[in-house]
Amino acid sequence: MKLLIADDNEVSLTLLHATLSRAGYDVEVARDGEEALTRLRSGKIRLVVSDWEMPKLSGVELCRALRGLDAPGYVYVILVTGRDSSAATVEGFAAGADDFIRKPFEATELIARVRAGERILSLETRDVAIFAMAKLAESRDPETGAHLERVRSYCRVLARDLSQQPRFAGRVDGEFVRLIYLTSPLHDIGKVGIPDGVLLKPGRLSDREFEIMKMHARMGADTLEAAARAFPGVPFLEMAREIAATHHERWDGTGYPSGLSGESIPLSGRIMAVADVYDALTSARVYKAAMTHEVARSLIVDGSGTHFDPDLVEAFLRQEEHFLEISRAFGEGRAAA
Amino acid sequence: MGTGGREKTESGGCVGGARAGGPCHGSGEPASGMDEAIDTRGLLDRCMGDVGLANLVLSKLREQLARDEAELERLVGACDLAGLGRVLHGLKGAAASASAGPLREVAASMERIVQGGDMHSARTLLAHLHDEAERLRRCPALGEHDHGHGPIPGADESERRP
Repeated sequence: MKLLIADDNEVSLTLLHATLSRAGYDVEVARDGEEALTRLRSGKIRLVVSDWEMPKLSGVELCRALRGLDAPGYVYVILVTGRDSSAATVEGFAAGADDFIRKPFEATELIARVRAGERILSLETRDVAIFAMAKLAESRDPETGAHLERVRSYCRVLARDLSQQPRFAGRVDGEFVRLIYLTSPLHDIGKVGIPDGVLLKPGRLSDREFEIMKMHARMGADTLEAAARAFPGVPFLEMAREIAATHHERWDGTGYPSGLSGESIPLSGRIMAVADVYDALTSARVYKAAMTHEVARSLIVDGSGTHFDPDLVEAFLRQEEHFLEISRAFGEGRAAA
Repeated sequence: MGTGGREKTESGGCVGGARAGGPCHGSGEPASGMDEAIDTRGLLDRCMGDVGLANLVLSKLREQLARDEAELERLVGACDLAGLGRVLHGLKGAAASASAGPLREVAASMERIVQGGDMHSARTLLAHLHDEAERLRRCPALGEHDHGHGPIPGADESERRP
C-alpha cells in the first residue's frame, strides 16, 4: 500500500520512513503541508502520517483542506504530535484527523496504528464493492431497490434472533449479523446472466424458461467464487457465494441448484430462503397481487420442515412484528396486513 | 562504544541541570538515563535494533543542531519570541525522537521560558543548549556491538549464588 509521510523534520522523517518502509509500505515523502496536499490530490494515496507542526500548511490545516477536497476516496490521516492536551486532540479530530501518535513514537505502535487505518479503508472498499455489485444486479432485475433493502433487513432480524438462541451460540454472532446484512443484496447477482426474454417476462415462466431462470443461482455463485479464489480469506465473499448458491435450496432436498437438504444447506442460505420467499409473497408483481402478512405467514409455517429450516420458521414467528415494520418502512405495492 | 558507561569527563559537573560533560551513550536505566546525552537502548528500540539507522538519526540530529544553534543565536539577538518558539519546538521533537533526553529537556525549558517572554533566562539557557549540543557532537558513532542493553541490576549477584 502506498502512503505519504508529511514532515519537515529530518530526524523524524528518517525514523518514520525507515519504520514504514520496513513494514512493507510504499512510502512517499512531502516536506511541508502544501506539498502533501498536492500529492494527495492525485487520489493515489489513501493514508497519510503527518506531523502537526509544518511550514506552509500545518497538519491540522492539511486535514481541513483534505476534507474539503472532492477526492475520489477517503484519505486516512494519522497526526504525529508532541501535544498531549485533550484540547489539541479535539482540535485535530475536528479538523478531520482519524488518529494520533505521540512523539517520540515507538515503531510497533506506529505500525499498529497504520494497520488499523488500513483495516478501516478496506472496510470502505468492501462496502463500495458490494454496493457496486448489488446495483449491477438490481439494474437487471425487474424488482426494485426496496426489495434489496427489505430482504437484507429481514435477514438481519432473523440472524439477530438466532444469535440469542443457545442452539446457535458460537455460530451466529455480531460479525455474522453484519456480514449477512452486507452480503444478502447479492443473492440474485447471477440474474445478470439471464436473458431478457426470461428475466423480464411479465408472466408465468414455461418449464424451459424456468430451467434457464434457475441457472442464476449457479452463475451468481460461480462469479463470487472466482472473486473469493482471487482474494482468499475475505469472509464477505464466502458468505455472498453461499447465499447466491443456496437461497433456492429447500430443507427437504427438493430445491435447486444442488438439491442440498437440512443442515448441509449453509445457514446463510437458509436464512435468505425465508427472507426472500416472505418478500416475494408480500410483494405485488405484474402477474400477481401482493399477499397479506397473514397469508404469507401461514404459507411459511406450512413450509416448515419441507421448504424451510424449522428453526428459521420459529425465528420468523418470534420476529414477525419486525417483519411487518420492515415491510411497511420499505413497502411499495404492499398488501394490507 | 567510546565513552559509554559511567566515567566522568574532564569538564564534568552540572550546568543548569544538564550535565555538560557527562557520558554520551546510556543504557536507559532509570538511575542514569537523564545524565547521558543519548539513551542508546531507547534509540535502538526506536530504530528496531538497526545500528546503522540509529547512527543516521544521530547524524540528522547533529545537522539540525548545527543549523538551529546559529538560528537560535540570531533569534535571541533579534528578540524574536515567535521564531524562537518555532525552532525550539522542532528541536525538542527531534531530540526526543533521537532519545537525546537532556537536549530535549533544555529545549523544552527554553521553549517554556520563551513563551513567558523571559529573554534574559532564554539567553542563559541557550548557553546550556550549546553545552548539550557539544556533548552530542563528541559522542562517537554506535558500533555493531552496541545493543543498548546495560547490565540488569542484581544479575551478577544472582549468578554468583550457589
